[in-house]
Amino acid sequence: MDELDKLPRDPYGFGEIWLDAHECSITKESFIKMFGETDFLFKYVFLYNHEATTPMWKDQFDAWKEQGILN
Amino acid sequence: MAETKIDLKDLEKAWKDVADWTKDAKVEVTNQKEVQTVDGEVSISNLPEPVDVQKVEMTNQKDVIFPDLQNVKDADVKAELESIKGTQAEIIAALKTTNESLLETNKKLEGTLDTKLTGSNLEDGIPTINIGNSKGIVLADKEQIMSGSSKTFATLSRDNELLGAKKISFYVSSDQKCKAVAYFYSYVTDDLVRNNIEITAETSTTLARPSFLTMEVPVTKRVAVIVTNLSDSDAVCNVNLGISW
Repeated sequence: MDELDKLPRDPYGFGEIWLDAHECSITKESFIKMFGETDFLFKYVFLYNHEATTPMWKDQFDAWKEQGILN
Repeated sequence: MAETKIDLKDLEKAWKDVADWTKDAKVEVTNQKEVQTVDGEVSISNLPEPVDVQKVEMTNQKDVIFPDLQNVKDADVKAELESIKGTQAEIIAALKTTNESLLETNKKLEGTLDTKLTGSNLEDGIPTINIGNSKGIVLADKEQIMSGSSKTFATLSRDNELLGAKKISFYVSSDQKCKAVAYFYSYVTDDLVRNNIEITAETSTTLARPSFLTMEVPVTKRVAVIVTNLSDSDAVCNVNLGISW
């Protein structure tokens, strides 16, 4: 999961993944726990349609897609 | 008419004496009176009187009544003074007692006054504290938190909201199961310092009761509350602070 380390980090210095769409943050462990450890983890379609994805998470995945983080 | 013979030499000598006499003579006028002018002809009837002899007449004069007691003994004055001093001492003692009583009352009030929010304000979710030196700060008003994620709500360091604060109360509520943790910023570095203070999660959109009671505040300029959404749904939460000095 090296790709997870490429995600932006929170501005508070906690080292958590920064979710800029709604200014939230999540630990890497929590992110994996929510969406599973899979090769599809960085696929936009996979994440967008995941059962754990909420409307706010959809906003974030859209933002990451625009930023080129997801494809 | 008999003819008088004058010796010319004597006449010259006389003139010379007169000249010498007037040469060094000084004439000084003292006690000069003001010049008074009289219109028209001067006659005895309108001749002004000298100022220094003008008459002054006092009218509407009151009779002066002197007190019967003219002779006051020093002993009587001293006794009266001692009496005044005694009264003054009694007044000062009474004021001192009153002041001490007020100070004692203030101490008791400081000890018993509670800054916990109670009443309808809480039910409205509006942190209004008007007891003593206290105030409420709204950190989050119906803020959304993504499921499984955290959100940080911090006071502004530039406003010096916590300057001199001694106690702080945290009020956190949410429509989903949440966990809130209080953080204090380092006064020196302004970095967040975790204090492992967990605020009880509540499932309520209103601040029905404090989620965490009053605690002592370390020296800090900022406080942050990090709320973690533990549910599978997006959450809405409120975070308020009650600060007292």
